[in-house]
Amino acid sequence: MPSTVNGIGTHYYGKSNHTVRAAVCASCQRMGNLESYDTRLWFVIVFIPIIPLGRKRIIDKCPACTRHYVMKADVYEQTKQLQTSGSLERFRREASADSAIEAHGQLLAFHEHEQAADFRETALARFPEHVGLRAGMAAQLREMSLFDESAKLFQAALDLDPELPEARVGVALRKMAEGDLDEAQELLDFLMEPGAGRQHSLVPLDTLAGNLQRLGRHEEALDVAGVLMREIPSLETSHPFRTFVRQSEKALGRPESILPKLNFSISGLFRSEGSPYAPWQRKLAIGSVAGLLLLGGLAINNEYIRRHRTLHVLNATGKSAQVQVDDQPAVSVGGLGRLSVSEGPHVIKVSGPVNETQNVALGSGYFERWSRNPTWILNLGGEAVLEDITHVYSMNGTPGQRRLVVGETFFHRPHVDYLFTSAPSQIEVKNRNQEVRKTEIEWAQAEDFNAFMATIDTNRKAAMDFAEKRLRRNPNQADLLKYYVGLSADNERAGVESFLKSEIDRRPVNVSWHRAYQTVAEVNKHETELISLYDGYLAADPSNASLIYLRGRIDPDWDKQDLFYRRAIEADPKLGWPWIALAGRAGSEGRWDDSLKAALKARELNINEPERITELIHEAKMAKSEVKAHIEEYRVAANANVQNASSLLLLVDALAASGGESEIDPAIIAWAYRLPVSVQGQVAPRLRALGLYYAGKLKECAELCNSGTLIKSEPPHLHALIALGRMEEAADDSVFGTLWNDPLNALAVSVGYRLDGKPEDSARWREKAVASMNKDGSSTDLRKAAKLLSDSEGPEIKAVHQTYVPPAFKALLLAALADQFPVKREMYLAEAARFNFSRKPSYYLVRRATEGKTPGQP
Amino acid sequence: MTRQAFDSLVRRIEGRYAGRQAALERATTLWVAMGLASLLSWLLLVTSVGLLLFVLGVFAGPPHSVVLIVIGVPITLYGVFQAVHILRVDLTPPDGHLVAPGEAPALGLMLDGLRRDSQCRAFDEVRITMDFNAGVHEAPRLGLLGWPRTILEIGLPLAWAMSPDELKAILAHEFSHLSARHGRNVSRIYRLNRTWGNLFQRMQRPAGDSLARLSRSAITKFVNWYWPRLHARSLVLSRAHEYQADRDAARIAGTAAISTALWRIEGLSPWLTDRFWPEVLAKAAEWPEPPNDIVERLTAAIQTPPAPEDAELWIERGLNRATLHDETHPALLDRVRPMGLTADDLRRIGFPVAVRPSAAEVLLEDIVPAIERELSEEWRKNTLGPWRDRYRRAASEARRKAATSETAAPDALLSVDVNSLWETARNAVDLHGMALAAPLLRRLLDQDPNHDGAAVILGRHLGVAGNPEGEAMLTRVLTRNDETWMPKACEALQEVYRASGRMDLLREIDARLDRYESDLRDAQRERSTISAADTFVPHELTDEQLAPLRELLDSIPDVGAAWLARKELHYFPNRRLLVLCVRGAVTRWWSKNAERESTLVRRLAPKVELPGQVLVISRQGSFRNLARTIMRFPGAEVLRREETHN
Repeated sequence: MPSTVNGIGTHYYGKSNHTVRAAVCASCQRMGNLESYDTRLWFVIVFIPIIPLGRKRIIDKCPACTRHYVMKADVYEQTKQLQTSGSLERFRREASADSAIEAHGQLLAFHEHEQAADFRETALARFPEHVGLRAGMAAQLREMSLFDESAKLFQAALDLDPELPEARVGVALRKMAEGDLDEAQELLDFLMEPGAGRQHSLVPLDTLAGNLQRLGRHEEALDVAGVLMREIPSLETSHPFRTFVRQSEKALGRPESILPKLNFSISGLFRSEGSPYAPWQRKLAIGSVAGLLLLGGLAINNEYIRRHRTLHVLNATGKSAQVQVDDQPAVSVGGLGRLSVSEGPHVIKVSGPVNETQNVALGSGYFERWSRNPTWILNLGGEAVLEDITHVYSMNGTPGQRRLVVGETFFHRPHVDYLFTSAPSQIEVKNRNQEVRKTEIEWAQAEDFNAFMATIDTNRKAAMDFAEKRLRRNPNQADLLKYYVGLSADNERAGVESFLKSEIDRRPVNVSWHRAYQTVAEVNKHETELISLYDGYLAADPSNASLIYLRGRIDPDWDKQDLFYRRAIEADPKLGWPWIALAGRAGSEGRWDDSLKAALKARELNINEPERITELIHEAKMAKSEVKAHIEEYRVAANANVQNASSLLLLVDALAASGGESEIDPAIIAWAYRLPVSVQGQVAPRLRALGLYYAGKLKECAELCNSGTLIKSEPPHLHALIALGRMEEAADDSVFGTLWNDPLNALAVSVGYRLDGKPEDSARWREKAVASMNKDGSSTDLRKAAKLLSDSEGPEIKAVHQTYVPPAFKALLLAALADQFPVKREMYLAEAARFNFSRKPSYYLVRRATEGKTPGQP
Repeated sequence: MTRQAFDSLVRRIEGRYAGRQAALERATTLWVAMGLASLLSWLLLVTSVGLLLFVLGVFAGPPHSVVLIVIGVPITLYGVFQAVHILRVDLTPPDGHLVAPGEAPALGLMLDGLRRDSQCRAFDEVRITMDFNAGVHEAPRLGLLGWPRTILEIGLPLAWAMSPDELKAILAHEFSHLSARHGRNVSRIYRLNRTWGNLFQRMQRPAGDSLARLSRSAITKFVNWYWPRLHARSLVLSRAHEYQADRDAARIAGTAAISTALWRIEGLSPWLTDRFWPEVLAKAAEWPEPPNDIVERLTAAIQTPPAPEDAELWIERGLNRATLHDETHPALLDRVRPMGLTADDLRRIGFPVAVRPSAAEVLLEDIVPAIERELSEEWRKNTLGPWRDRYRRAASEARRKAATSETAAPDALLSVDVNSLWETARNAVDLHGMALAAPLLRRLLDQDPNHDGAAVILGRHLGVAGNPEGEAMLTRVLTRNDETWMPKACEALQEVYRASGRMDLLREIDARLDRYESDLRDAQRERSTISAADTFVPHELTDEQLAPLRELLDSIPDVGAAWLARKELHYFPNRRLLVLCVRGAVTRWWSKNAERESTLVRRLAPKVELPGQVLVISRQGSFRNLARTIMRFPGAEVLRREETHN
């Protein structure tokens, strides 16, 4: 049949040689006017005929279901003519009832009804007494739904031969159609005889039974049904027949049925022909089998999934570990391993680089086993770092979420879309409002330092544990060590000292580790124990340059320190640490040439403190006003490391000191632009505010900070206000509350108030600064600085020099001392000016103090 | 495959496996397996794919597992249900009286003895039937899964005809089949046949699309190739089994017993078929009910020797019968020759009438009457419908004849036309048998010596009875090469030649039938289309034959001209294929002539009466090229009127 899709396809157009006949459709079995006609098949576009595909003869198109036969029109015409003319010629040649029936059948088959009628008349006249001819033609007419003509011929046959079965059946069917069941029953009595079913079709009896039942003649209907059952025993098990019999029996109220009892038949449930079961029962049986198979398969699959869960084992220790689940044999895992375990509680024993026993429970909901993809990850020692990412795919750019999972020894997510596999960059969404969320878990084992920094604010304990494990695994992580110590809280510091101390007997001496330990021990006021500890080490190994250097670091005597450093250099000329120490000492005393020389030597010896060395060199160059030559070097370094802003700050400092203030903001913007989008908004404003301060654009800095809540509480804002002399804003605004822990900020307020002519306020804030310097956790040098401020007569410059604090802090300290001790004011201010070279806060405050500048005028 | 090709194939297989029965068994089993495998390959593929998806689904993780299981289950079920449906073979329940244990002790003892001698297990069922034969077959207890039940069927008429020793030989023959599991392959082939039948039954439904048509065509081609090859092997194997079973029977029961038993079957079986049963059926024209003592009649017939001339005829028929390539059982002489017997030996024995005491009397003893009643009743029940139908028809025929003879003048009865006579003769053959029909057929042939139908029926009857006139009649039908009656004449001649053992002539008839079938296919192809590319020849119709056409054309003024030619045919050229091309009388320049002329063709075509098939066409439309060829053909013009222009 022709068909079109969106108007494109094939279609019939035109109708000729049209005939219609009322008949039963062979497809839908409905009575209707069946059409036959010639037409043309076209290839159509938008239902416009484009290409002719040939003439067709449509035969018996049903108006109800539109099903029809189709032939090529010329083939149909040729076949029709040749077949019918051949049959007619045969009849003319050897006229017999058989040849007449054949020719008549051919004419009817090709719907040549008029010609068939003419021929029928001729043939019947030729054989006026032939019963078979009449019955045969009548049967053909009945097949073609020409019931009236058929009935006449059957009646004629019956008149000639009242015993002819075909005629009796034909007339009986007509009588049934007319409602004369008695006569029909009489005509069909020959079918009721025993053995008739072997000779004749019993369909007419079936029809008679149906008609009898419809008219409520149930007794007779059951008699006929009994005959049918006798002749066709297989009917006993046929569901439609049994239903028919039961219906009549029910109508008659018969307690006993003529139907035999049926045994349960499995095969009967699954066969359509002769089944004793109703179609719905068969469908139910087949559906049940399918359902059972389906449920069975799903149940087995569910159990299989339950028993074969994957436990991912992450081993970030770098060494192979033995993992044993319950009583199973231990499995060696290095890197990422996968173990097949069933859901439920398990005891997992890990040995090797990590020795631990974990009681874990794997579980998920019954139906979730098909719909979700849960993940269980055993993180050996909690040393692996996972990245838990939620991707949001949408047209409106909803950001996703990322978080580092640090320190968790057993990690479980109920559903993960992409495990250790990258999620696609794009997923198709249906509309603007749709959001598709996908979860991804990655093993993000990059820098331990980064993982620590990412976690310390959100999960402090996990971060600290992670740092300890990773430092124990790899002690040479200077950054991690530094920040582990530096970010430790007051209540954690004893633990940090204990952790660091646990590893200091390890040889060769890890200087960074010892330096960290010494720092924490000093903060914890264990200086005395330190000295005896290191004296002991030195006694055991007197020529160890590292130990000599470390002993020098903790010596309370400034000059003795120098001696230890020199001894260390003598003991090991290749040890860089003493040179850093010497550079720091020289810088602290303002001997910039010596400081620069020692720092360069330290750099030459390539020790693992590049930032500190660069800082020392930068301070020396700034102090000597030679920093301009380093601008390009800083620019390259800043561009090379977008993760670390220290080089950028050096660049900004150098630009500010070299008259390149206008380049600061573009440099910061260019650098920040390369940051990930998610952090740009947080980092860039802070840096720009700082850059404005460095550039001396204090008002712009204050305005910028005041306009954004993010940077309103930041030090550049505070120091810009102080430098501008807006002391009430600086001191009274609660937004700066968190900044007063840094003694530099409180001291700056103190100096600001003094410059503002408010000595009481200045004194109050100085006390606050001193208290901050003396608080628990402050370094020895801060406490020394506090002592200088508390000196009743004003300390000697030498004492200030021997207080090891950054130059900017030292310059502010000297400016505060100048306010506090007017007698020595000029000396302090002159020295403050010498240390006030970096544009870091509070450069402009100190400059005001030393140069007597008006607030806001750099 | 043609008969000749099949015959050659059977000979080749016989030659290839001569003396290698085990190899033939294996080959046949392989062919059966191949048939089954090819039949089920598609369903196996579907089921395997479904199962694979299901199993993969069961052992896969989410979310694919659910999808795979949900897809796999319906595909698997579809495959399984289709396979079961196609492989389902409903075996007809066995007929006859089931011999209960201990019911016939003498028979039981004989069967036990034979079982011991044959070293095989006992039959699961023993049934006494109406057949003049004995046989063994298998019925699977578990349908497709096999586990066959073996059933021995012993015909009561056979038992009446045989002596106990002869029946023992026959049963030993059947035990041999059982012990060697001969029935296994037969049973397999039977089931395979039914299975293919199921498939072909499904293929009778209209094909849904071109893929279905293509697959049906492929299946049909495969079966046409495969089935004759399997059948040829199974036939050769079956004959080999028969020889083997004969040898075993001779060993157990003695050569004399088996040879006389076979001779008795060979002699009596055709006699019953040709004489006894037609006579019984002819009684249906007289008796409204079938007799209720058919077994007694049969027993009596077996025990009554035929007239000497009849006996001689059937002896010669039995001895002349040769083994045909499509027979499962070898001819008698081929079977007894290895036992050292010749045709003359059997001639000396004479017509093998029943012996007394018969095996039925000795082995079944006093249960015989009950079995006879049971079998008679069963036969009566089965025959009742057709019997009554025949009786009704005969009565109706008699009434009509009586009515005709009452109304018609006496001489009118003698001058009945050929067609009516033919109808009467055919009815007589059907209802009363050849004894009454033969004179009618002779009368018909007197009136029309070229009446092929009458010649075939009478020729077969005479030919099988050894009358050379019959063969001559049939040969004349062959010469006339009538499309309808030629194959029937061939089949009748096959019977005649087989009865007289003339194998060379039989092969000629096979070749003739092959040729006929091939010609028929080609003729159908040749006659199915007519185009301008065909060769046309003058119609060669006489004026008398053309007269109705001319009259018709004259009566239709719209016909301007007409041309008639005949397509040259290579097959059955005596049946003409004519093309009549017509042109309208009026040509209107402002309107199309095509529609008008095609209407003219539609009016004309049903009325044209010419000796042969006729295609009526016009100058326009899809037959225009053909029309041009016909119009140009010299001498084709049969009508021309002056053309008028409007």
